[in-house]
Amino acid sequence: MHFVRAALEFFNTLSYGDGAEEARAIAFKEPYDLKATRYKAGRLIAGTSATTLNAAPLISDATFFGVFVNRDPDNFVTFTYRCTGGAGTTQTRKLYPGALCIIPDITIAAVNMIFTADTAACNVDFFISEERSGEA
Amino acid sequence: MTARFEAALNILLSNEAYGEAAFDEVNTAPYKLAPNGIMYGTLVALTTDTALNASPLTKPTFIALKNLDKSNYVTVAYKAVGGSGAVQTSQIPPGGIFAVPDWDSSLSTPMTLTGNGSHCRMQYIIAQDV
Repeated sequence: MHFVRAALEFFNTLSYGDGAEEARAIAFKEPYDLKATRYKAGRLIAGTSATTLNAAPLISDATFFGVFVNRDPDNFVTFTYRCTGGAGTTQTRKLYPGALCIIPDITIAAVNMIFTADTAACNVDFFISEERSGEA
Repeated sequence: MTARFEAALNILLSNEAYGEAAFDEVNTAPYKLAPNGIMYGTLVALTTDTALNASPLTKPTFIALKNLDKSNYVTVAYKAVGGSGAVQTSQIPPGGIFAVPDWDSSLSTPMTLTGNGSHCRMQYIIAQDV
């Protein structure tokens, strides 16, 4: 469960610009010991309603653990993905303004995740890792 | 995230917040939200399939689940606002956590949980902006 805590800490400290790297260092310090873990985290910002999260260089056949937060205080964001539990089908999530979503079984190797905002901007924090939430 | 969602996750992540009564609560309906808009408990089934029925909750609901089994997966299936009515599924690994903000708890169709072992044991948290 350390992954979930690390991800939440990351989201709670992440900020735009110069503070982002410092926040990352705080979020992933000991005792989480995620140094050897493959992960990708940050803020997905797009000036259009639709944008894509490409997991490279994490592309593999692994199942990914992901946490997503809609940072827009006024607008919805919908994202689609494929997951292990869905037998290959496309899953859809609707993130309310400020809402958080934790998905433990994302399959990124075949299909990128697509985020679509209901306005002309998309602002989502993300944390994806090849480690599953229960194994941390 | 909203303060209520964050509070729900913190409860789920810190077992000490649970009382013994909460652990003993087994899928007892009708569910009632506490004044803070949060409801939680443990869903236990001795068969592989069980269901979490949120009736009479009426709004799209934030729900978080934790698989308490240390060796078996649990597959969760449910309808969500974001799925245009389609059934969504996710596979929760042993000890894993799953949380979505858009479970359509207003439907009579319950959320189903299917373990790949001989039983299913999950902690759940439901939170609404009341």
